[in-house]
Amino acid sequence: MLTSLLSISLGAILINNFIFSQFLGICPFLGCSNKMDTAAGMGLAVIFVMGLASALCWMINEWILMPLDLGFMQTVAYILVIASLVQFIEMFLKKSVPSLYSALGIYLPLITTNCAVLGVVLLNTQNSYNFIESVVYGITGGIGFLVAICLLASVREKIEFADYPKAFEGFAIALVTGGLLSLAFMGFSGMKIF
Amino acid sequence: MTAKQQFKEGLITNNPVLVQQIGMCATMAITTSMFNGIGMGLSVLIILTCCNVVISAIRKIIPNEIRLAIFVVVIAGFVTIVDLVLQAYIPALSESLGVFIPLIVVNCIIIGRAEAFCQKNPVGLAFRDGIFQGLGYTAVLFIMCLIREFLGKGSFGGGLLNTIDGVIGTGNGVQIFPSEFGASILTLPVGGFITLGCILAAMNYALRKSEEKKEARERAEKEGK
Amino acid sequence: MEKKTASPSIMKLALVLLAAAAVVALVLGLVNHVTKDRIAQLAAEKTATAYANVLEAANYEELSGYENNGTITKLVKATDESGAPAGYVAETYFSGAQGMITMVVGVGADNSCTGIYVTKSSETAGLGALASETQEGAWRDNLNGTTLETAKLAKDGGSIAAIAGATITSRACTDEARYVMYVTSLLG
Repeated sequence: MLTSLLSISLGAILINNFIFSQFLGICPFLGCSNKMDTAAGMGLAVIFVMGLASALCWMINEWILMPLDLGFMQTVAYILVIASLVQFIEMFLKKSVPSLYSALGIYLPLITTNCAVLGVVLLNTQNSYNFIESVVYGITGGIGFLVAICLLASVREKIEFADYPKAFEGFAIALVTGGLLSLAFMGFSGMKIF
Repeated sequence: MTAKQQFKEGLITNNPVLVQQIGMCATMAITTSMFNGIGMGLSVLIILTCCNVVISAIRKIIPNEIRLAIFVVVIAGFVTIVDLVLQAYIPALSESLGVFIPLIVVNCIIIGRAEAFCQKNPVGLAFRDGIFQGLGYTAVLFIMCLIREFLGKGSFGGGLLNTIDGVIGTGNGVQIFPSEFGASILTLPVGGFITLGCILAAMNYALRKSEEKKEARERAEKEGK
Repeated sequence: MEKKTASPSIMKLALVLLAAAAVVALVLGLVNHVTKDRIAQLAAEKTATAYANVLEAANYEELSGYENNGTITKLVKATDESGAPAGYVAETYFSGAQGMITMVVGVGADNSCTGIYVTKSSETAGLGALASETQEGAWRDNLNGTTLETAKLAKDGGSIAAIAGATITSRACTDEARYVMYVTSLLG
């Protein structure tokens, strides 16, 4: 059990990193990586949402959708759960941690459309993970996202002072940088942890 | 808004991926063969158009507070329909696109157009908008596949041309030059990032150049007067 | 200008959302009903094709209680019409280069590999995906007839040439086939 959890975790963070290998979560990856603090804040929020969403969606799938043979309603149910979850978190943060709420600003509702969150719950179902495995995959997937976005943010902060062709301004240079980071992460592919 | 204007916007000046810079996850992930690219592009086009039409049709009766939730439910519904139909009738596409078909739900393009356009425009315009934005998206996917397949493997039309036994989705397309001479890194995730980055830069450059030309022309006209 | 009306109550909003979800659920239920038989049929056909492709036999009987490192999801014993053992077929699920691979492995009565058939993989098109190809002369034919000792990549001391640029996928498939042969050899 522990080895499978370990292999899921290392897989999500290094070998099949959600951003660098699986391309889930690119929009916020590019949009929020201008500064390190925004990146870190977004990353932490995503970890939290991914973990909770994995747990909730597993329960809904296992106890409501599957017994009633409503497998085809998975997409609808999952996205509604994620949207409501983000809404609740927003209200909660607004009341209890207003500083974090204002720091995340518009990025918090954007987590709803983050491919990584819906992606991880769909992958949990596809891989038939049990409850613990789903939650672990959700949290470590979020950690992988955090690692990726902070790496890109640190490079982008430096790039601001670099001399690159004007046409590459904005997302274009961020994408090329992301590509090189993805190349580096390829070094982990094929790693087996048994 | 004439159809011609909408066409130009959807394909060039307001292209969802290259100008609005949304919907990039799938663009990089699945553009490793022409079959995937065109398949995904057409799926998004169909879903986008259907959602545009439905949302535009009910735009006056949706309560404002829950409009995002309703959009999401409608989009998820259409995505599931397309997903089930593909699984039943084009299983090859369903397998190669994998988890990215249900992920069309959170494709920013669809929610973005619903929010920005369908809410304020009648069904006819929304329908055309869906088609043209979908075409713009498919065009970008097509170009990405073209570059990645040709430079990466030396082939063209993977899965669509030169199929094995005529079954769509198989085969590696027409081999233009032997695949050993291709930069196979372009077929890996790295290639996706870099190709999209370069295409974005090229688009930026082209748009800026046309802006400068337009300004120079206007200035010349003013001085000429 | 929009008319200024009182903000609808939470109850009304929730009801509207529920109504929308219900309509969507009904439509989806209809589509699902129309397509589910075909989807199930496709899935069954795929497994049946895979089985027949690696080891043609009259009967397949599922086994349990065999050695398993977690990658074998189903092991069946194949017998011909007269009931004589014809070998084994294993359904496996293991990690490749870009995700998990689902593969069917056939083992003959003499414990040699009769073939592999990748039913599901997400390997890179043109590289690892070549391991899924099933036409005459595809890479997987290299594994036909190999035994516990010879089913290894040339790099690992055996005789199988890896797919150019897809060593990880090739090694994963070859090692899994060898593992299945190891398990069936224990069964005697």
